[in-house]
Amino acid sequence: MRRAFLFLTLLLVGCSRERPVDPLGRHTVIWLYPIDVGSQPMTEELVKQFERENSDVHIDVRAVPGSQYQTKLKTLVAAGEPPDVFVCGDVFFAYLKPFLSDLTDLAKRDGKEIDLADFYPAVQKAMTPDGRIYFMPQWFNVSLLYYNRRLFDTAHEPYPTASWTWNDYAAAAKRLTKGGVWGSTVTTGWWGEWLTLVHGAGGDLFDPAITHSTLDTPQAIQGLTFYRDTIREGFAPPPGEGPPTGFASDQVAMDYGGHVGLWATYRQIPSLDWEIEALPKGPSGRRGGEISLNALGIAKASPEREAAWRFLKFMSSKESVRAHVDRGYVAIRRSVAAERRDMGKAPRNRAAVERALESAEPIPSSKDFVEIALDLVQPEIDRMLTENVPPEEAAKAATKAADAFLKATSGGAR
Amino acid sequence: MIAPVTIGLLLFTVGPMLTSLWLSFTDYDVVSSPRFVGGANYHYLLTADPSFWVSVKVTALYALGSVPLGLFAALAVAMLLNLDIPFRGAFRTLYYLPTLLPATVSGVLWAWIFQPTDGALNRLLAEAGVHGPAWTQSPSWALPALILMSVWGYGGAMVIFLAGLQESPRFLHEAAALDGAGTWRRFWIVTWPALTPTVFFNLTMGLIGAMKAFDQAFAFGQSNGAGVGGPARATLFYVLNLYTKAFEHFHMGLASAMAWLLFAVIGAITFLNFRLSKRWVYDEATA
Repeated sequence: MRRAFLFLTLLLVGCSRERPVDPLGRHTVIWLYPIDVGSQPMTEELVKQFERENSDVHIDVRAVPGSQYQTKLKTLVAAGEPPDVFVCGDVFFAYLKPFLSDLTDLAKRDGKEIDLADFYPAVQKAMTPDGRIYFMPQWFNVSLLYYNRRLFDTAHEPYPTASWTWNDYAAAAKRLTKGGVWGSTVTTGWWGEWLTLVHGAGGDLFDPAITHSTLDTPQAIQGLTFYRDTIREGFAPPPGEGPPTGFASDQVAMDYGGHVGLWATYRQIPSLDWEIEALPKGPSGRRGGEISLNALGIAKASPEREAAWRFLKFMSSKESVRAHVDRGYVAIRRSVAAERRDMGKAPRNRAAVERALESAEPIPSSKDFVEIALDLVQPEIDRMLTENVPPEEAAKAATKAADAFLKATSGGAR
Repeated sequence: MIAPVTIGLLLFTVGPMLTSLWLSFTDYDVVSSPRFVGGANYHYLLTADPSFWVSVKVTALYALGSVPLGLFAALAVAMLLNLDIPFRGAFRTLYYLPTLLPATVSGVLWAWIFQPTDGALNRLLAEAGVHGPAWTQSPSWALPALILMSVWGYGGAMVIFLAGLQESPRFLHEAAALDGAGTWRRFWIVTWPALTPTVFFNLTMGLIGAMKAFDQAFAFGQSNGAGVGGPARATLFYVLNLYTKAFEHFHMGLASAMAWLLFAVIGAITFLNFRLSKRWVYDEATA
């Protein structure tokens, strides 16, 4: 009888969604954390601070190398053991959405505490896809134009302004290219530049319903042509022929579409005198830059939703955002930005970030975006840059590949 | 004694193989249940996937380049190390050492060597007045770079050749020498026939290895900034493509279909290799 009771108790405990508290009586929240050597001390300090302020919660940080993060996360989800808290809000949101807990009820309940209005409007928009809240952000990335003040001064060139167009950018880059200095640079293997230019020309990668690719439209081809011409007209080095460290080498005058995540890196190079401006406007009047959030979400299956939510609130609080700013990230809360706590450091033109945010465009909400952009379209773009394939041909091949994939996957192939 | 082996084989080899065969006919993203889709995965791979035939071509070119080069290098070094020279043991160890290095490590190392502007190879070429290509960034040069890199791992084949050379009957060499045969003649009439079973073994294993090449290309692509399989799919090996489909995008159905197609091709090539071997491999028992 006693054995049967014990068995039943174990069975009930096993079936329960509750996770037992640890020997110190604390709720354990598992956080799958992508290792980032630069920000790890800050993260550890924030976790300690949270645990000090919330003595009934323990954050179990499971560190995973950044490059393996998605694989590890998806494997854990597949195994039915998702971490309570994981990184989302970026290009993988569409894929992860089915496994994310809808936090709208909690956000409404604690509205005063999380103070949504304190986030930049573009961030608010990006953090509420389909009007619901699935994650809380810590920092954001937005595309910017980086420029080297020393190289501009040496060439007696006026600095870029918010009213710059593509023509202004290309003309300045051409004039700056001399004596081993390049006016600009291109990055292969990444969508951040070509997609921005396609947007700037008024084109897009997909139709709004993401049923087919629109990369072969005249507008999109115009964007790709401008990208190719940065090399053909000689103001950006062909891939592999410029300085290996790009803009950080102090030999490249501008970097088109660089993200704010670069601030921490560039600040570590004292000789690099750099500044930022919003991206030049394309023929369509759009700047075309993208916005993505670094945010934390809670697994739908988490048995510690309430404790995890407290952690999310803390990680998006002013206190945490201040710690992020001190570490080189851009303030995601306007109130923290207004404190101007890192104004002694470059870049000084913070208004450029707000301008970039006003026109930033979110990445297409498709769980296949990364695959289509990197595996199907990118090789054609790289061929255009390295093998003189005409933009029309590259666009046609990329569109054909993307359409075949969309057709096949809608038909069942996976 | 047989039962545990059989159980292990069924559970850990035959079971997963049959499961992957079933998965190749499904739409399966790991997090949802598999959904039967018939031959859609095979149809997409063979008729519409822009990366499938590219990866077949890249792998075939790699096999055609790396296998003969590797065999030649391994045989040449084995013959040198078979000579009665001082410190022979130390040289054998030194030449075998690169094989012990994990392929990912050598991939990163070679990506540095091939770095277009600051890499050791292009600096060396510049000293000789030659403007080296952008090895890691050029779709035309990235695969030749990987083929060159593969030769470095000839140590395994070299040891097998060395064993084969030592099996070569000494009395036949002496008899040929007495009959007036020179070094080359002795090589072609005595050494080579005795070595053909070893060449056949190394060729078969080399071809299978080349068709399954993955780790060096993975590390090479990641460390040179062109992305896995880049630039422009120039180093997208078949298994790298399969891996990306399976573990980057979680298209387990497509990846399983690719695995079975590879299994069939490797089986066919190995079968052909065995059939053709009867024409050129010396077999003492039937000679």
